[in-house]
Amino acid sequence: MQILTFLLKDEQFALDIALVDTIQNKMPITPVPNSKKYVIGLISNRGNVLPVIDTSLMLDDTVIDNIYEKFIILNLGNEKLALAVNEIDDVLEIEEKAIENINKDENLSIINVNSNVITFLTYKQLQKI
Amino acid sequence: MEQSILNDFSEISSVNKNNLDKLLSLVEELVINKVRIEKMKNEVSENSHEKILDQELRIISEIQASIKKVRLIKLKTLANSLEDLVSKCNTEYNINVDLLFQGQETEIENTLVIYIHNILNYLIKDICENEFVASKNKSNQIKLTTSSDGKNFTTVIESNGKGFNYKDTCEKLNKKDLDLISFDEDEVKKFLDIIHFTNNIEDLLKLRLDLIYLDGSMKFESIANESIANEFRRLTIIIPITSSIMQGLLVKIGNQIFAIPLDTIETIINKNTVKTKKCKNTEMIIYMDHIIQLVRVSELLNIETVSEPSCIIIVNANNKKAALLVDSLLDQTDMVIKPKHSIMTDIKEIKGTTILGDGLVTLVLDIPSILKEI
Repeated sequence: MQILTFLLKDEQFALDIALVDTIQNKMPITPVPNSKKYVIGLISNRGNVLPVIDTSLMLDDTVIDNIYEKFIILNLGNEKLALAVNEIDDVLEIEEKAIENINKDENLSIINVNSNVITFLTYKQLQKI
Repeated sequence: MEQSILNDFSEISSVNKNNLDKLLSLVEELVINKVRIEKMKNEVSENSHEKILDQELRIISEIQASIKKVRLIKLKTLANSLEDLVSKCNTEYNINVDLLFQGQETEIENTLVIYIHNILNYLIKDICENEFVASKNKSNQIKLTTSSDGKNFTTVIESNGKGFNYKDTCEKLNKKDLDLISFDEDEVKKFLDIIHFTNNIEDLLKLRLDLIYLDGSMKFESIANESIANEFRRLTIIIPITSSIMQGLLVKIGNQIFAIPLDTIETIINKNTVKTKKCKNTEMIIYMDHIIQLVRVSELLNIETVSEPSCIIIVNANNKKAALLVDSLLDQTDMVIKPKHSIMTDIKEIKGTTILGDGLVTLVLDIPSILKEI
């Protein structure tokens, strides 16, 4: 399977490329009052309004003052949403069994690519948003 | 069978020929305008540009109006299926019920027809089963009156059966482990009102009073239930007719722009011209001899204000008024309201979003729900 890797601060993350709709450059975000902490706001994409998710906040609660440069627009079933990330890294070809689940409670999966540890975001994790 | 009827409603709609012709001629005008715009490239003059833009705006607003009309369906389409239902109930329960359907010419939007069909279907079944079977009248009648004033759709269902009994309903609710029998009638009424507005329907579907067939996006404006035991029962249901295209007022709160649907706005006043009074932490203003609660929208939405609010917008929905305090007014604009993303469903203050000319997403305030919360 193919995965898209991206950077959040110094850490490398990845997700299944089949979920990716488009990748967009930074654009103005409309903040949503009283919303969940990890929702930065809304953007418009081809006439649709999509929520932008602060990927680092979604993964753990520590607030990093991050400057996002790119949005990864994901297609999750019927709905789309945008993940805010620092930088898009690469598209890699991996084998599905290379994804290791190291923490069952938190559904934490990693991939080992050339002795680089990449955190893999599963469909389930993303759907929880 | 029922499903096929519903499919018919959603897929086939009869359109008044005049409406269609008008729409066609508007599209023709659009094409003519397009040619003019193309020609404009050669002769650039400020004047012609403005003229064409004016015309374009007029055509667009007329198209919007006629599209709304095209989507309307007469309630006559429901009459046959409701009559079938009544005759089915007659044979099933061995009763003699007449259905009188007034206001069949009322036109409503075709997506609403399905909901109304469901509600009426349910209520008629319910009345036959629970009121007529028990009453000993020889001839029973259900009188259905529908009307629409462009803003709200009103259905009145009258029946001359046993009437509606709060005690019975309480007992039924009690069986569901809800201790209601100890409440007095007013409290039960209040509780039932709450039920009508919740989306947690599953448990309540079997109760006679439950009318909520609707998904979360639909709301009743109001439900009134009058009943005299063994004489009659009258249920009045008012459903707001909303359209996704509407006009909105853009306001600034903090550093952010919000839109308020224009049809909820009664008037706009300068903050300096009215006096605010405080009463137990609630601010009030007196406007035309009415005392109206002042709502600081920035506090409601937890937004930091950068300047002292200067404008008061008096809004009105469901006969309830409030004065919204905003930083400043920006503009009036046409907007297309898009539904909220599922991630925002619990933010009640927001009705939806709209995309403005600059491509920025703007949040639309849900005035009825803000008024309900304060």
